[in-house]
Amino acid sequence: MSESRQEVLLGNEAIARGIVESGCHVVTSYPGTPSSEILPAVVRFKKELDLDSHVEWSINEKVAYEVALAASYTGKRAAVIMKQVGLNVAADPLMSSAYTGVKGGFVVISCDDPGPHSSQTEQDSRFFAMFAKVPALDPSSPREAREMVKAAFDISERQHVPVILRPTLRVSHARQNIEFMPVLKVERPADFEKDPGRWAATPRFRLQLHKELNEKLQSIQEEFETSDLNTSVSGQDRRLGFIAGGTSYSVLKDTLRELGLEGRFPILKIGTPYPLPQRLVADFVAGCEQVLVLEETDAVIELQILDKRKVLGRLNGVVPSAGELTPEMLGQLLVQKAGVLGAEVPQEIDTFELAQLVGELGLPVRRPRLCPGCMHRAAFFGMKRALGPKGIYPGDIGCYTLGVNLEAVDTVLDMGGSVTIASGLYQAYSQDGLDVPIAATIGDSTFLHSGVAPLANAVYNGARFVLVILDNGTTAMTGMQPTADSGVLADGGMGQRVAIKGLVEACGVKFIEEIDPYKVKEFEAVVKRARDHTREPDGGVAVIIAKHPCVLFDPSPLRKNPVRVMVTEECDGCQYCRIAFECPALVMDETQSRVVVDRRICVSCGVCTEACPKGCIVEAEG
Amino acid sequence: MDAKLILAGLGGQGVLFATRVFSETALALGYEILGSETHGMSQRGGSVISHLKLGAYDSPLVRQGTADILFAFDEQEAYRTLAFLRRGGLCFVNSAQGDFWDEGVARYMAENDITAYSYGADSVALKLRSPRSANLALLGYGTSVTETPFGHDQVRSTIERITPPGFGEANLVAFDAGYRRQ
Repeated sequence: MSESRQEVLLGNEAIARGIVESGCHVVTSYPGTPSSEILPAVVRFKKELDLDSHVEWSINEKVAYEVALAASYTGKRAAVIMKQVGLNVAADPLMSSAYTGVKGGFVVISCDDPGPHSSQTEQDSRFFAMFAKVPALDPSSPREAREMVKAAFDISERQHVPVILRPTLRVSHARQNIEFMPVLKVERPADFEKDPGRWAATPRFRLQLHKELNEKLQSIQEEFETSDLNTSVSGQDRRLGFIAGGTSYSVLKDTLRELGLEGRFPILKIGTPYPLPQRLVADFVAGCEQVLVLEETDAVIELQILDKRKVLGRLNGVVPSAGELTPEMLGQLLVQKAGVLGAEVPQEIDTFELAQLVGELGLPVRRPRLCPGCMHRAAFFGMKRALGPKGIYPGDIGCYTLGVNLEAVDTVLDMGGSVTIASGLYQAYSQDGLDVPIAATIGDSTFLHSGVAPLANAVYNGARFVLVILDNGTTAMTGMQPTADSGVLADGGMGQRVAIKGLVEACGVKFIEEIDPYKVKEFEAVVKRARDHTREPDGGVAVIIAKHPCVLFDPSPLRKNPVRVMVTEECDGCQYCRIAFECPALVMDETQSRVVVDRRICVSCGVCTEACPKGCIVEAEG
Repeated sequence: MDAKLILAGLGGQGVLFATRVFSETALALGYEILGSETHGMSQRGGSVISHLKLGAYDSPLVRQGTADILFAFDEQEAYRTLAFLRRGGLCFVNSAQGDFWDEGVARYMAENDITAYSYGADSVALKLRSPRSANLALLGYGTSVTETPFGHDQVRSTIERITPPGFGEANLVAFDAGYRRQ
């Protein structure tokens, strides 16, 4: 590109820009908040620049990791992208590839979710770096994230080791104006050099590789001592210093400025939390009376500081040990510290008083709910009606986790956990001679991600339960990424379809039925037949594929066949429908003491005509 | 000029588009831009809060008690996000009811020199037969108040530029109606 071009980019798009500008050849990912926007942005830049890189949505994070890793074996530059819990799935190849090392630059992007806003844990990917003994970089802004991608490729290529880039949600989902830089042309014809002592190392060689890894780490740490990825801000008041990394650094800077304390206290910004540049940190600590360590989500920098006598942070409870380090929390901490040190800060508005006033208003809590017209709601409702409240309902990760609102999800563990939990529950109860209805739910993308092996295991070991695969044709939760079942590829082209039904058959399941859950009565009947199958002498796991497109992804069936509904005047306001069916479009009209349809959000799916046991929700005439 | 803004509403109300209008305007005028949005798991109907900072900042988040301006596209969301405003801040609320504020909260605003403007953006947009342009009607209203960071013409040309084809006219009409305080 000749002229400089600026755009307001999402942090994730800035990271994608960094990947593309580094001349990366192979990029793989499995979607997950807050990482999902990176790969689509890589596709966008690849198309704009007419690059021939390979970009794929992989089936899961372990697969994505290994596909990208192999490209690095051949000398190409490769990146794999996931959310932090995805790195659990990819932990196996991460640990092993730290030993084998890499050839072409290999960057692992693992987006953390302090809060957590959309994850089952707040785990800190920097611990994974420490566990695997690979370096981690921690960006504090979208712009820095883009630069750190480039630094990560360089370090990886120089030291032959995977490098983890760890943005948090506040980097991934921040927006910033970013200037586009030229794209590096990296000529790397695929060249896999056979070296069994490395790429196929047996335990004897592994010991050698471990020693080699330790040496690499030492050399990287030495490099980090003087790296410009770590910077410092001077300050004369050395009674307090700050060591901060990632988003916490950015929040610290702004908050100090707002409190009129900018430039007063020294700050050491750590961009390389692992391995920690020990001399740099020790020198900084030596120059201060006390040092407050600010980082997310866990105490990774703090734990590595060898002499902790002057250190304040999470370990001694100065900083809370769970949750996001919010600007409000940091503001309070700084005001309090400033008070102790006699530093004057402006009197700020008292929002505590307001919080009390607003709290007294009793505003309704907006809990997340399934969308109007969502097929999951229809399936949960039919399933519950067939098996009743005594059934046990293991659930999984996706929009349909919200089935918990309908009391149709009793457990949520991890990706694919519904199938294994159902198996284990069956084995536990059947051991006691008890027959309890168990019905697990799992989405199409999640089933492909990690449901197949659990299903094969259930069949093999004779578990008996109903498995409802909620097939809405897309990965809805994370923003409509295509699934292998659809056959659509990351760049929008068509690949080979991998049919869910075929996989279920291949696992040896004898009862498989495909049905649209919008037909609630028929769906309920299928669930009952499936339950019967689990009790027959030669029965086993029964699988129902509940199939209807996500209403946000493909509303066309609704347009073809809208069912306009109304609530009759016989409605007595019992609100059964609102509790058991929980469609946001069914609202209570307090003035009439009955339920009415909110026309602004109703999508005319017509499913709720089944939701009133008294028959008060009906298709409107005319 | 540095400015910190909060835009708050419900999923589907166009909070993010309104944010984009401001950030693209800022970009065209050569400002540094940082922002962030937070929303829950649900795609529709959940709270959406968007932070936007124009000028020399490091963090994409606005700390409570420091925002200059709040645009709330829903009354309840206005209550939920009012704490972001600094002393002397401005807030624009999409409300057909005019002075809807709870007495205690109104007192808090008066004591802290917070000026609140209510504007029935929903009904204005509905009258114009483009209910989804209510966000821009409120933005238009905001630009009619001189303390807001951008003038009417600057924002208008951004809307013209970034609105997807098909909605352009409706968005501009709603924006202008808001500006004229119709």
